[in-house]
Amino acid sequence: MTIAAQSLVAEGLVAGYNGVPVLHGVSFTARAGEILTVVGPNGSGKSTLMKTVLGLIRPLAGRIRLDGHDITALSPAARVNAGLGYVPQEANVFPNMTVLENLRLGLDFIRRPGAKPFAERLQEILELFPEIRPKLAVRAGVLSGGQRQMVAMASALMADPTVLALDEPSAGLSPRNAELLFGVISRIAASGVTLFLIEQNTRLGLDASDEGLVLVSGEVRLTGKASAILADPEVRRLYLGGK
Amino acid sequence: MGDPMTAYLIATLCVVVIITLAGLALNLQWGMGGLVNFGLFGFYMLGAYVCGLLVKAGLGPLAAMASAILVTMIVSALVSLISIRLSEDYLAIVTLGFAECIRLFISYEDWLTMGTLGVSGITRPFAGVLGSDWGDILFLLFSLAMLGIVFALISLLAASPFGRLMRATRDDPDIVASLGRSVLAIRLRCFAVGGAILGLAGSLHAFYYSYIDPTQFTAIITAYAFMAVVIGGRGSNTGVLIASVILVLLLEGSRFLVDYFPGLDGQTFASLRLIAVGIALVVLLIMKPSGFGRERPTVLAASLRNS
Amino acid sequence: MGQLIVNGLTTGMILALPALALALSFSVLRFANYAIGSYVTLGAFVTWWANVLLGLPLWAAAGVGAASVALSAVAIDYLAYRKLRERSGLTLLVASMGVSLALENLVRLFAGNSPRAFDVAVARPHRFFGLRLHQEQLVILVTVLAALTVVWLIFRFTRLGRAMRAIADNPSLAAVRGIERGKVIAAVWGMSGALAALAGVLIGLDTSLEPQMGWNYLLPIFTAAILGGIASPMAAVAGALVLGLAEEVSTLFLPPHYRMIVAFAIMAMLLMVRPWGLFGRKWVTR
Repeated sequence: MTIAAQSLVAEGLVAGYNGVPVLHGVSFTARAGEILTVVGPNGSGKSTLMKTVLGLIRPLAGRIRLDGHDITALSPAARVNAGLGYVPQEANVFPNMTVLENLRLGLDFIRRPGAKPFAERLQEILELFPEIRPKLAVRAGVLSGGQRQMVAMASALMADPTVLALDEPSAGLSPRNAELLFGVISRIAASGVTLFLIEQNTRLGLDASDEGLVLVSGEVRLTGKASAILADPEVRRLYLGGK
Repeated sequence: MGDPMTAYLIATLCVVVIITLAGLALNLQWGMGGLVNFGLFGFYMLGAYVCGLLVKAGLGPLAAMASAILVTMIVSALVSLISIRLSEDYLAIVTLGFAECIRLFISYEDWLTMGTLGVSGITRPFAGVLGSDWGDILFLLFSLAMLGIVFALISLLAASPFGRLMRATRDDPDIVASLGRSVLAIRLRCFAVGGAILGLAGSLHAFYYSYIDPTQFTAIITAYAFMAVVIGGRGSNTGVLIASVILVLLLEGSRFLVDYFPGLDGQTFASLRLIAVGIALVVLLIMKPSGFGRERPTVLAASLRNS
Repeated sequence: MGQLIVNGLTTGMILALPALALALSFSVLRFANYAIGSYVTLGAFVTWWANVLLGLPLWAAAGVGAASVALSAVAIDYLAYRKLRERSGLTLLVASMGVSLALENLVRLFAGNSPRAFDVAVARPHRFFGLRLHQEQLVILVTVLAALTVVWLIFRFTRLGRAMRAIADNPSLAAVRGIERGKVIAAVWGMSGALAALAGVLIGLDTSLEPQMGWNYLLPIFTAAILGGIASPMAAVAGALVLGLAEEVSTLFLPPHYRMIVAFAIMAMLLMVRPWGLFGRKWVTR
């Protein structure tokens, strides 16, 4: 396993608000084409972790590496340009602009070396998301929740990111739509993009992932293959309602 | 009273009282209620004209003044109704538009308002009671009495439950609504009472100058009132009082500078003054958003913060 | 009747530029810039200065005027508005009032109160199908159409236009997509200022120039923008045309100096019945 295949690496992250740490030394490794999902109870620090990875919070200690490059000191915009894509949980499309314009905006202001021209990238994305091809001229705001999520992900992918960070992607979706969504996420992973998710729905999240991380009170309680975590008795008892 | 300096002092103090009343009105509407009245001079003008015209028509000055206060209050209520269900910034353009329309109406409907000729010979309350030598001092005392009454009333209002409701509506109308109180009714009352005070200020203006015409009433009055509230501190009545005094003394005092700069005329100075006011407004808003006075905290807001 | 429509459309077209400018800055920055009237005045007078005192032909002078106001608008935002963006919207309103006061009186300081006119050749009116069309009206028509087309093209088809619409639509997502808010805001003010300045030139052509001119247009500008739906820039143009026609039609039974009252009445009715304008999307009132 070469270093380059380790797309997103966090080492000993200590981060919080106003000097008070919420994360106490969190580390993980996500490899190319893998889906790594962070689960845990409310208040465990999942969103803090996401914000730290995105650059919205500067960690008090620890490092983050993207494709081997240390991005700990980079601003959020710089991280986007370095290859970190992000899909927010809510309000993740431009509702009054068409789907096509949303996709355009995914690329308009990103300065990635070696980025493909818009037309070419658009075709690649539409291969990955054939469902949105007929909707290109539709305003994003009138789409259903599931379709909006797809547009949001497609827009983030336009910039050809190495890593795509997703913030609770199944939130607000019906179980069927959530399953469809995770099918799409698998497709994205298969194309070589690394996926870093935080998920409220433990079973759904880990079911669809390769690797998992259980975060409790800002510490890594469990990490490893997602299937192994799902089988863990304590996880089953605490988060999956026994059985 | 032969001393011109005293006469000038009395005159200036009268202007201070009138401007202070305008400032207090705006402090009630904007400072405490969050209602931006960009058309302040229009309501002031309305008060002046209702008062002046009624006096000319034969009504006693006090009755005319009372009528002006009532009319301005009602008109204020009606104008605020136009945008009362919308966010506060719409009130700004509604009041501005209203003021311009009032000015147009008064200027052109000369069958009613004497138009640009103006209304002259507006007798003051209690005129002639003490002889013409004491006329100005008497009027000053009358105005100060009015100011005292208004100040006392507004202070009582600010400390009352309604005052707290007003400030809560300014800061967070949704919470007030969720408590079951009518935001519309609170705003309406706040704007109307402020309008009544403007009607009083306008009446005093009419009495003071004894002659009114449309050119006396411009957005400059609005600007002065905003300055007073911004300097004095939104919500602080004492602050507005002190600020108005300082403001008028500064601005009126600057008239003396005309003598020292023979090359510049009154018009130039008027423009310079207003440029200074405009810039000062912006600078003050940036640097000292709560002014120099202090506002009494609302129990409602504090308890909401703690819950 | 035809003459009424011609005149109404002329009024409406002049109004379209500052209404568009207002709606543009409102949609991206969410505050109503009361200084827009003073931008109109400033643009008119800088153009006059370049035209009459520097001897430039009117079109070149207008360019100078537009550039000056564009730069001033950016500067004013940088020096004043930017520092107040985190405060309540009402604070910005009052600040823009202060700006308006200062700018308008700055013009008055240098130019005095008496009306002026541009240095243009007097031309005979044209006649089309029995309608009288002044040279000025033709110039107004062409200028406004050209300006609107340029703005529409930028808004619809360029990266900058998309960025403006993105920030208006979802500011936090816009930041995530790499859009630099500061630069886009500067561009918005530049466009807004240039449009206002052009409007000032056209008003000066149509009537005359005086320091009060921008202030007098505040009410119609806001009414036009609200008519269109204040957050929708291109709809503000439609609102302006409707208002222009309405004002002109009102002269059939109201004296011409009462156009303001017509605008006010329309605005009052709108706000009470349909505050999202004729073309805007419906939103919730209290």
